[in-house]
Amino acid sequence: MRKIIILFIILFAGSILAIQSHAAARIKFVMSIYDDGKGLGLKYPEGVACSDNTFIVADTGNDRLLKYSYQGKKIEASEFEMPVTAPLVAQMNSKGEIYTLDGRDRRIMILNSNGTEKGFLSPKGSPVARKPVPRSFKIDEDDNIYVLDIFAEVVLVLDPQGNYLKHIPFPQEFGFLSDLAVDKQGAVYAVDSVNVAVYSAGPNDKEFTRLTAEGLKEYMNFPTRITVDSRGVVYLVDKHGGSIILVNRDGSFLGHKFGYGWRESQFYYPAQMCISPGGGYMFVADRSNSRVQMFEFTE
Amino acid sequence: MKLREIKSVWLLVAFFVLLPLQSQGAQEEQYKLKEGAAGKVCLGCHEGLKEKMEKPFVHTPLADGDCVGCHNPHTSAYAMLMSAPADKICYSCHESVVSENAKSVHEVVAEGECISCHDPHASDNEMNLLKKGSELCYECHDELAERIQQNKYSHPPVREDCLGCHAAHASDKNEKLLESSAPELCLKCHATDKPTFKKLHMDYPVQKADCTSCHDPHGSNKAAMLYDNVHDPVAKRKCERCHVKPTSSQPFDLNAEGSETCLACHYEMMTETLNKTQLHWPVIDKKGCINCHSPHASVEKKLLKGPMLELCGSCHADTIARQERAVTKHAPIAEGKCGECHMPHSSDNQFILKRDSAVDLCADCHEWQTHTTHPIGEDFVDPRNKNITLQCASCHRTHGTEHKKFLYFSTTNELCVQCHVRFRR
Repeated sequence: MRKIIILFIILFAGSILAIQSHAAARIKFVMSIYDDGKGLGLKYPEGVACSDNTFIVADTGNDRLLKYSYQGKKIEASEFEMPVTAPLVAQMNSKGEIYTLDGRDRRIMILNSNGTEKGFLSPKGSPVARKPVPRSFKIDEDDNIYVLDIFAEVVLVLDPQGNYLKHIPFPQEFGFLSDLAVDKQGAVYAVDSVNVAVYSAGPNDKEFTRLTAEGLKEYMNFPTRITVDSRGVVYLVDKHGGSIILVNRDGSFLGHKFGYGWRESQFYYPAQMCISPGGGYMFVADRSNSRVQMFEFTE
Repeated sequence: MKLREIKSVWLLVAFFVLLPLQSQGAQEEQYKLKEGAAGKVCLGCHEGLKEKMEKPFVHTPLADGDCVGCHNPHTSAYAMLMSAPADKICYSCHESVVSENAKSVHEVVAEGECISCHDPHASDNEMNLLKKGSELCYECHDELAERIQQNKYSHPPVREDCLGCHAAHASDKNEKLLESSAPELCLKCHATDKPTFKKLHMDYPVQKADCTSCHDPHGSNKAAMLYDNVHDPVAKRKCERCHVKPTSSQPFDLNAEGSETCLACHYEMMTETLNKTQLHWPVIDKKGCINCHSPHASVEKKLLKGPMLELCGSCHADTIARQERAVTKHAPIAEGKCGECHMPHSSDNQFILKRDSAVDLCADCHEWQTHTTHPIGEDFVDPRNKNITLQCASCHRTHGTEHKKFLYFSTTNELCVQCHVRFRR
């Protein structure tokens, strides 16, 4: 009888550990991308977007966007470079079209998958945003566009053609919202750099509620970017701490990865990050190290 | 009166008479003191207290001879043989000093430093205060005191007693320890219905607004006690440059939103700001310029809402805290001069720095060439990362570290071998 109880305890403890490790999978460094494959090094890249076989780098200091193909850990030299003034944020939709935030004009530019200019995002029918001032934006699985408008103080949700769908006002107690993320179910997450907090709004919610407790300040300095993976784990880029913080879907702290520095697997004022839709790879725009770092998720 | 009632009354009287005797008795019992000697025993050695007890305001435990109410007569882990931390002792009797709903608490109260203001034994001043009126407050608030003394136009209540407006311990009403917020507080003394008043305020219903947006409640060097630095439209009473007409339903509304209000006058500066690639984002959010600047008047130059260290620290608390923890303080930060290195609005450089080369920026203050020949600059690639070059921040973290000279490591050896790997032990 005693042996059965002990076995049960071991199995139970093991399953708890398995659940936790599943929630915070191991992230292993693969490689750093230092240049465009044609000799010109990256310079203070602030944005990166990825699919399961392509990633886009907003090479901010060089005023260009770069598109790379990859297959597993093998990366091809950039297919094209597209001149954009100080691109800050990059996203791709399901058709391979590229969206980027122009750092000087503060408008969202749209490019075709071959890098040719398609136009600018112009919201239609919005009752709240006269002319949005986007701090960041994200594209969901259905190609809907979520714009973090810091002037109207709303998250503006548009369909792929730019038509207004809905908006979510900023929470009353916010400090400064720097970025947002959207999960598979359509829940929206926003990171507050000043209050060191994450707010969330479910797919049918009309307002944000605070997801994380005050104590998160103990674990990071100044989070500026946010991403969420397919399991609902939230990733925060701590710009001043040079690390990535993992937060569970209930707002609890999960883990703290990497650290401040110049070597590989270290970050020096990192910016945007992305996780491939299949969940296999993660890319981080390691801004002040002038490179993009690639990681893989291992169980 | 019935016999039963008379007995009840006498019982009550006896209770209140015997209670202090009982506590004395309890003391005597606890410390095996001679009968009736609870207070006198201490005075046998601490003769100085006798003189103190002749002051007009004596702390009740001392008057009752209850020295052991605060002190342990034998031994203690606390200074002055206190029987517990000072604030715990005070709060054992003075419970209601800070309410649960307090929006602001005086720092010394929060830190339990009651004796910073109160004499625990006796005083010439009410409430056992160490000094009278504002004199006590000026002991700590010396910079403000100096400003008040030197102001050309003073605010009489300030000269009389700070407690005319401020709560000494905590306030449920606002975050500045005020008894009530402006304008409610100001309207207790100042009438706003006179024609002169309305004319001076351009008929705007300022009695519903915050008077301290323009007026320095502690006095100033400007007439009408406006803050020392006044926004030009305010000085010229051109309120309608920014605000809608006073007869509007919302008279304090702005003519435009956010920084667009400021664009009308500050067009060149705004255009130059917005043409840069690294923008301080609050410049273009809903509040715009007034994230940092007071739109009416300010103590600070350039109409900043507060000293730069506090202002920048209101968002970048982590950076300021890093400096506070740092072993070596970086002078511009310690002096609250964030603008020595950073452009407050925008620039084309990382971290919104004033210069594109960090080496040149540091060289503005540091003649580094005189103390090191270590190669730094655009011609020298960082061995750790081929895409970056060696510069001051390769070794020093400008906002501070836990090591001297804001190095990343505790010893120079540890630092050097980050690059000079072959010398690692």
